[in-house]
Amino acid sequence: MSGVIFTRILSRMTRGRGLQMQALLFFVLALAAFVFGIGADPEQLETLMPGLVWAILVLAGLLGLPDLLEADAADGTLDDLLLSKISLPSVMAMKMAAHAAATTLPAALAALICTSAMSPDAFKYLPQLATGLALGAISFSAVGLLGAALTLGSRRAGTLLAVIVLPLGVPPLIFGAGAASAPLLGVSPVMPLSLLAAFTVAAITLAPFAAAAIVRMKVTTP
Amino acid sequence: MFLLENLTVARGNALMALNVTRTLKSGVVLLLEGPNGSGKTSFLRALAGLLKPASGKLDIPEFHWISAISVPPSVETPREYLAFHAALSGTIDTRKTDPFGVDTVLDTPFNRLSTGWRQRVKLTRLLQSQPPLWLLDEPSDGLDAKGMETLLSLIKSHTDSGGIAVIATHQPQLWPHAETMQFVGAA
Amino acid sequence: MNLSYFANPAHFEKLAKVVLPLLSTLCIILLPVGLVDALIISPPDYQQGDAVRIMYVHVPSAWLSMAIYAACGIAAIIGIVWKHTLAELFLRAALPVGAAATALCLITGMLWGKPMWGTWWVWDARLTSVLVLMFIYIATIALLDAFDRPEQGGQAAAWMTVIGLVNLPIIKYSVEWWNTLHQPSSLSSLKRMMNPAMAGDMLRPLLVMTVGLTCLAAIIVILRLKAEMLARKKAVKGI
Repeated sequence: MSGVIFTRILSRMTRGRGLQMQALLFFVLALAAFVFGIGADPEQLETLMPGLVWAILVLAGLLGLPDLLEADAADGTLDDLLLSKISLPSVMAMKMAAHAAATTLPAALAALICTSAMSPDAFKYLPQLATGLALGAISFSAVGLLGAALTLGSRRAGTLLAVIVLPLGVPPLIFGAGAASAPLLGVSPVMPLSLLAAFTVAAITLAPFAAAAIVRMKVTTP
Repeated sequence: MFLLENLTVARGNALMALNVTRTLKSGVVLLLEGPNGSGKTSFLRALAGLLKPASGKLDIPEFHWISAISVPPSVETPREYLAFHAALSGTIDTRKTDPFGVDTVLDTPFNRLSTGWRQRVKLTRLLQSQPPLWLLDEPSDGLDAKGMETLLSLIKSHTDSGGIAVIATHQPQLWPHAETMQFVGAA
Repeated sequence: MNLSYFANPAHFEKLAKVVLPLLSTLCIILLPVGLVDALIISPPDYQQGDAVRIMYVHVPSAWLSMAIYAACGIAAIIGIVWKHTLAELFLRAALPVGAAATALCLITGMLWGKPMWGTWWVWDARLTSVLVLMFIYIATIALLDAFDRPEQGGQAAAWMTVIGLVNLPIIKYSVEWWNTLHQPSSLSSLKRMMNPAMAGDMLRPLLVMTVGLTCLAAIIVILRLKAEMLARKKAVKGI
């Protein structure tokens, strides 16, 4: 039963809009824009690359957030989800997973491909790089879910989302970019990676409950 | 049978219903009547638990909730829509009858169905499980004469078998023998 | 008598009537004394000269930026758990004051940075944390007025405050970690200033200014809270 519900949540997010494709494309275009701004010096790019990739990943996480809950609120689906047999936190966890699957994880994939293509040493660190990006993608979705819940029903959700999500995403951004640039500085990425993993675990456990409480309050408050 | 005790419903700063005490026995249709914005939907939402009442108690059995918002004309198909709603109420779609005739359009996306047909698909959810209470917000919206007839007979067979229906409507003449509750507008 | 006693508007009025004159008296005495002490009497630093006097505003505003956020955090939790309207109104009254303190802290930090580091802005761990705190203040205040009904904005802001409260220590830790990763600490003189072993001649005006500015902030918050209560009462009666 939850399978049916998750499929529908995911397909409503992506279908007809090709959100995954959009996220991939956004990543590549934004990266190109940064490179045009910085210049093509390979050495300089190599030092800047980890930070750039992570900064773009945070921004890519904003895609799909305005509609994550708002679309359901507009057509009454949110009411049906509130009244359903499955608990609201599980629904919110599904929303978070759907957002990760539709935007942040595709963007992380693009990040992995771009980094490997542009840096000769990246292959040596591919496992660490991939782990970091995947963890980061998931935690940005968790933070994004909170932002979507907080701005649900607001008048100018778009800008507000960025203002809320970006500061909350600072720790995963720092730990993730730190892990990605650790090889360049000649230090081990284990510590920032484990900090990132800790943040991710905490975020994905707490965010669905907080988002559920916020959404329930918003819907049922007279 | 269910019970409302001193139920007060407000929306924003507007009072919608004050100290409603009412017992609904099985087999009853209760109509919520009143002009636009008089609080029929808010009251129905309070019954469904979607709106916290300002005060009072209510004891509500399991129910179907059909809102007045029409199904959006998306690329989704009625088959997916019905499967999703069955899953929400914890079952799979085991509907045996098809009074609204939606089986013929199960795989036609909603963006190619008219408002009336989308309404028929929405009302078909009523057949997916058998809770004792139906909460319906403007269920006759967009239906043609035949669809209306189907809706009426569906509600009748529900109440005949001991069910209760609470209906917010602008067409009270459709249920001449129903109990009514008048909403006068923001007090 | 517990906390909810003051959540009653009438009781709050009574409390304000006693507390406001008290705070005002303290403020009128402490701020001029503190300012004269800080700007004239206290000695210049042997390294920084008169630039050190910025500290007497910078440090109290840094303290206020965090203290007001903590107070908002407590109010937000009360608002979420016990659904007191007063908690929401307190957020409306206090968050902008906290944001102003944070802005003051950032601006004085930049003014202090110019003579010390040669630039207005340095991505020092402490300054960066305060910058993120400013972002969180802005996000929370933006939520307050983003909804058609003010109650909804208050509830959303309460949740944002709590989420920020949980996240702030993590942000602070991560920024410190990030800072040591990218640039080794060059701020020993600043660290020395924050040292409790500071000269008594400097500690005295700092304490007086801190208490004075805290009283001033409390007065502003209480006055704003009274105004918010009146505005809300009017809005409810108007319909």
